[in-house]
Amino acid sequence: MKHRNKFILSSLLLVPAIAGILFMDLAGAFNYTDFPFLIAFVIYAVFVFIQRVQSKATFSVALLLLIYMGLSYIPAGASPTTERFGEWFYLFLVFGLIQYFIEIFHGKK
Amino acid sequence: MIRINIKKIIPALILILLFVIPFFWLKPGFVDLGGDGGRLYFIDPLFSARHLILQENLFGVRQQSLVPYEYVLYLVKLIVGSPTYLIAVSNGLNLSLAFLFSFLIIRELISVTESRSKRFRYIAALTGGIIYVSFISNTGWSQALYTQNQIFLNPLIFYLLLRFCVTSSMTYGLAMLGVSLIFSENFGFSAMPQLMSFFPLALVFLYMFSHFITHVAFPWKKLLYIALMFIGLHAFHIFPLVASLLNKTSIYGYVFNSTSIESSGVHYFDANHIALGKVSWQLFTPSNWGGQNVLALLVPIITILGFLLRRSKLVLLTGVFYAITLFLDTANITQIGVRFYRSLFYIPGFLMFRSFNDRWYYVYAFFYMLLFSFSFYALIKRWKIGLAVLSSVIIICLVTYRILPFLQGKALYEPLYQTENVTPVLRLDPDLMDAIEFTKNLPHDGKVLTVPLTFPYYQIAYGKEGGAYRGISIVANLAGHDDYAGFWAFGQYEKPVFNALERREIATFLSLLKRLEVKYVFRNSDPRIMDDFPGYPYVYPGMTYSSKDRLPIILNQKAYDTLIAGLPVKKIYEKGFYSIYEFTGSPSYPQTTVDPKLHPFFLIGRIVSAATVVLIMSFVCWNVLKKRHET
Repeated sequence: MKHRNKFILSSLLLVPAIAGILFMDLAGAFNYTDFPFLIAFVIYAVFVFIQRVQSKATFSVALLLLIYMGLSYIPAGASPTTERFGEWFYLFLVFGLIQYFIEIFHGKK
Repeated sequence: MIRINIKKIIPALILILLFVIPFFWLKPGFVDLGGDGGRLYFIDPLFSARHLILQENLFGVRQQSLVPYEYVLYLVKLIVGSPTYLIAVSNGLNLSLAFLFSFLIIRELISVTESRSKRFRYIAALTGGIIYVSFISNTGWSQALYTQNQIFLNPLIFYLLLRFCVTSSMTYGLAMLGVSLIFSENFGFSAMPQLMSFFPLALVFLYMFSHFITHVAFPWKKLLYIALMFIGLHAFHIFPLVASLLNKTSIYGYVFNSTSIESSGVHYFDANHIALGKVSWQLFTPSNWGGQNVLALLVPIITILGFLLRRSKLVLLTGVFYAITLFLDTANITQIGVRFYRSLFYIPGFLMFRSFNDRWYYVYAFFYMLLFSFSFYALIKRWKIGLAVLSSVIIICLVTYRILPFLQGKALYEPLYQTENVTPVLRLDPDLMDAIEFTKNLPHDGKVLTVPLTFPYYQIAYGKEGGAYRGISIVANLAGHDDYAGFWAFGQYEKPVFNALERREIATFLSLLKRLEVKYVFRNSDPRIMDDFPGYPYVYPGMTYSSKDRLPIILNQKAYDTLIAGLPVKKIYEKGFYSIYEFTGSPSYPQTTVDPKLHPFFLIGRIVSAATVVLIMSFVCWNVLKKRHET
């Protein structure tokens, strides 16, 4: 039990890892390729699995990204950063929908 | 005592208001026409319909579906009197019916899944209806295509399909058929992208809604009957279309030819997907109107909040369709996504979705509206009714404020591409109409060369007041004569004609015109139509005619004076800027509008359509009589 708790606790370190990838990507460190999406979502999937994170958390992230995207859109329009926020938002939305689907149909069983 | 039902009065008032608003967009006598659709049938719908009926050829295959719609327009024009009001009626129907059927769909979908909270359902439906109107204000109004009616036809047909699925009543099926015949222009070959983008997704949505949410059997059998009756009713344009595909005409080539797929599809997509595929434009739609301010965030935030507030299969289902359509509408989400969309072009027919941001927009707007409404309903349903009403009013006011320029009609007044504030809103020049009337009465013994020549097949004409018409040939569409208004119209002779003009080889030019069966020249000598349009549509980079300097012989109106003076022509008509010339000693080129290979299919198609109308009418009468007898 103690080991499991440690495992869950240490998995929290994945959050700054994902945030780091996201910020680096928005700064253009990955030349706007798909590589950061792949890495971030693999890590996020592991995090979701360990932490039993529900879709609400994923949608909250999507919402946060949407707000940031809007804040970028107001002064800069459809700039590369705004669009990149949009892509991150979209992928979190799709990830959230998959979780939402599992929750609805798993919950029913 | 008359009981006032406020729940019916509010949507009715909004409906009337939305219908009336477009009547203030155009001053009396003004019209907004032009573009690829032209919409010249607003000027003379009856002539347009009669002219199309005679076209039993490839042009007819593409345009035949317009005929019933043009007859309907003719009947409306008898009531309203002028093209200005006819356009206003069309725009008014677009706005008001888009609102009405969005409202009805939302109310219906929520009522099926939620047994209580009628008042909240009503508030969500009203707000959703207005949101849909704001979405559709975004694009497509300036030089509208004749498929513009999709903005209300999508929710209308969806609503009828939904009621058909829920009740299995054939009344809704027959209503669908009736609507499809009245607005037939949206169900023909040219409307294929609009049809194929919306209805397959809508049907899948409705099937999943019936299967997973309401657990009602999907009425496949009845739907099949409706589909068969639809084919029967629309046989007058479906049969010739199928025949032209089987005969492997240019239409077949455009859909299935791998060269077309590469050049018109893949290359176009590669060149444009970064500039046109913007996620932010779609999420913060309508981005054209007051896009970059904090109001833009209101609708998307409420939409996503729905996922946080409650678990609902309806929200999930709508969310999935929202995500799919957002992806298709942007076609620019992740590199894998771009590659995936690119690969879709190799599916026969997918070429029609090359302008992805335009083709998928109304489908995306539809599912966006649904998702917003369900989320908004989830948000307000636990609130006090006063707070819910207040929030709805605030949203409606803010959204209306955002699209205020659209409601003032500014969408129609967007300057034409590459011009200095020349708008497509104009009062038609009576001299032009007289010249067209003269051309209409010319014998059909040759084709018309319409000058100045453009690079595609456009014609430009200034109005007596206001802006200019820039769109498909007026000579062809209002005078009923085949013409060459631009280099594309020359077909295989495009390059030879260009070369002859570039080398100033008048003899070669004349021999080419003979081959093209040209007997008349329709000239507009207005200098503004060349001076105010320095680039497009005369020239287009990358095309044969890429710069005006390449053809000094037709550089401006003076050059045309010289060119025409050197041609063996005599002037047979002149009024204002418009002159018509006839080639002297030109033989007669009898014009036929009937393609013998396609003629039987046009004939059989019309017979089948007429028979289906009789069949449907008999079915309706029989049912009415049966019901009366029972009561």
